[in-house]
Amino acid sequence: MRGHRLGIALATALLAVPALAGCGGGGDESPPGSFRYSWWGSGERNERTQAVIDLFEKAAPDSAIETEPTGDFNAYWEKLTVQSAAGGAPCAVQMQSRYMADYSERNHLRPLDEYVANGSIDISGIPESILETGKGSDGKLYSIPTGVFLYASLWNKDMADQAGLPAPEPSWTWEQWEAWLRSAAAVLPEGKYAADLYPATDFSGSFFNWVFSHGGQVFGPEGLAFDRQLLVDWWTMWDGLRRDGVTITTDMLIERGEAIEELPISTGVVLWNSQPQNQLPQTSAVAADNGVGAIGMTKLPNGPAGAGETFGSNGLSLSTSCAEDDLPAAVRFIDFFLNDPEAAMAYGSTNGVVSVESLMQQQIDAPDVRPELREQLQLVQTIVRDYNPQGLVVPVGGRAASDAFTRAAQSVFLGQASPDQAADAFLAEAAGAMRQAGRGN
Amino acid sequence: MPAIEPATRARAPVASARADGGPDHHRVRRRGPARSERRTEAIAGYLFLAPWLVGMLVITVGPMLASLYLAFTDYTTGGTPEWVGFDNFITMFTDDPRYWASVRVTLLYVLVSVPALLAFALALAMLLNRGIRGLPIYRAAFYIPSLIGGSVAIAVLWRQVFGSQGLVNGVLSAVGITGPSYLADPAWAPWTLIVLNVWTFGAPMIIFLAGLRQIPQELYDAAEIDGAGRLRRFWHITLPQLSPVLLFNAIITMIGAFQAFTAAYVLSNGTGKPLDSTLFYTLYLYQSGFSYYQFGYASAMAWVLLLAIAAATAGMFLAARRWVFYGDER
Repeated sequence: MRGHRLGIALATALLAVPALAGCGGGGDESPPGSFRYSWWGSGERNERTQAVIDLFEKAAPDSAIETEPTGDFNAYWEKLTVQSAAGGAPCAVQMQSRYMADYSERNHLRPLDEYVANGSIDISGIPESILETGKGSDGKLYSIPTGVFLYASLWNKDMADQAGLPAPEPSWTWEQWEAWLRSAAAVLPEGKYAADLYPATDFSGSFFNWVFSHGGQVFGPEGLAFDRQLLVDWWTMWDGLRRDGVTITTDMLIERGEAIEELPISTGVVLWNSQPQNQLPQTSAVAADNGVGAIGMTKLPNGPAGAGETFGSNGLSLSTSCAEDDLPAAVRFIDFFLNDPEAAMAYGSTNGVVSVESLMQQQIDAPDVRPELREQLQLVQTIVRDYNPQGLVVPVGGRAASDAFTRAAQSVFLGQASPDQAADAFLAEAAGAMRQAGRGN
Repeated sequence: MPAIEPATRARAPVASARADGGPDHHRVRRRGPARSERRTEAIAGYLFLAPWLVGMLVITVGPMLASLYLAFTDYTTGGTPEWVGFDNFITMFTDDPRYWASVRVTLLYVLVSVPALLAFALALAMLLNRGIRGLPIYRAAFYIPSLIGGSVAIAVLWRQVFGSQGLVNGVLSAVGITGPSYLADPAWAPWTLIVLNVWTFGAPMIIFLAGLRQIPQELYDAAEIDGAGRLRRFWHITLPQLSPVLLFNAIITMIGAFQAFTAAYVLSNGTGKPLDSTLFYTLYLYQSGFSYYQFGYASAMAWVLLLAIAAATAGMFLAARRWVFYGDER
């Protein structure tokens, strides 16, 4: 009886200890060539990613990919931060130029230059300006850009037609755009608004366009580099539009979710919004499901300094947590993802327009390509060809700066701060955050 | 009045049960061979405990000590922790308005939602402590919010209830009042989270209910004969008899409120919006670590929270000497 009980206890302890030790995680006992790959996205993007993975595993039969998709964009980065801190990040990770510095500057990413030099990754198809967005502040390549995104003007064509409004033109200035919104607001029915207010609060696309089109720079060697007045003007313009009922209300702004299904443009509440161009297919699909009309897309307005186009890239990186054994397979996967025509077709530019020029053309020319996809491909192609867009790499600490920007903008729209005060608050907080983030390295 | 002095008899059976086990035990201990049996039992006991002990050391104590060290360093992932002494704490207390914003929100949340939740739970427990038909169904129904209250789905539902076009304003507009957006107005937003917390009254309610069942009916009978009214009986019998349970519930609820996270995270998409009005302490701690990569600072924040909870708990125990009545005291 006694021995029996002891035996059970011993067995329990023996069973439990390795199980607990296993929780420490990160250990990779899988055979060489099988590696983990993580990305953000859900639904269609996951299916398309899986299709690429299936193609790869067919082309490289001794490789196996463990998939780690995360549905929510912000949750993806939080998870990657924890995994990186613990040394357990997946081998191949999806990266974005806006966030890369937070990982590359903290030694979580492996420089890829040696694989380019020895021919394992062929980057010859990527235009130089796009490739630049994969480089860290030390000039090394940390992410192979596979997809390009830029912020565009999206508008509801049916709403514009019903109100007798023209379609926005690529040649428009910010003033013409504002006049268009105001004339729209005058004729739109009750409960409909000319513009979403979110772009005013978002430290990315449309604000960056505003800065560049006024001849400024967003980031410089010392952190933020734009003129304070440009920011004051930006919020003053938006607050004027808000007060005049041109944009959605502050309540709607704060209550608004960020999923495409919840966007006021998808639900037919607003005429105009600024979004990354690769959201066009899904936004159109949701708007169509809601029966609120077709969505059009063009470039953002120009300023006194001309077009202010900027773009970012989504790409693939190798984490420093990757086991040596698995590196060759992961490197091969990155090259396959980037250059294989069949894979590119299967992926369908779902997370940014494919960065390899010939593949971009192939998708534009494909007879069975969806019109929304062709439209976004052509927009990016035109902008890259004709408007000399600037690739944007956000320095380390950018995440905190971005949150501070949103809070400062909301304080203006809640009537708790003037644009002047909000600009001061943002600049102080962002500078502090970037200094602090830079210090820890 | 002496008739409604709380009685000690209710506790008596428990004490005698304990005493019953005693003599046997002593007899066993004195016998020689039994000693080795005891040792074997002890070893077996520790072995049974081993999984928990290992887990405790590896998963709780180890990381806690690591975070204590990190609290005195400047540490971001991938780098080496750099010793900075009390810098993190100094920054926190003197140079971080967001930190104080998070402290204010959290204190408001604790000071309002904990008493409100306890009062609500107690009131419902008393209501359910009577012989109403279908009582088990009511009890289960009232417990349901606690099962789902901390979940994402409820936070999403809360948006539908307290939004500008939400349920609350729908009802108000029926009587001609135009309500604000409770979620978008920084003055209102924390109160929606307080209401959400009070709504999850299930667990303390069940514990109160169990406590109420322990109060001997004869105390009430005697008091009633002496002419004590309902309020009197509540004040002089129910509350003193229930005070240990109340203390337990208060402490558990308070600690939970200090550590509240999910609802604020979901309702504000992790931002603490509008304008940091729902930036709970834990939410800011989380942002510092997992959004801004300041793990040293986040660790320092975590330790301050731990100390604050410890101090508040100790304060409650001290205060409890004055108002908590254990049956065996005179």
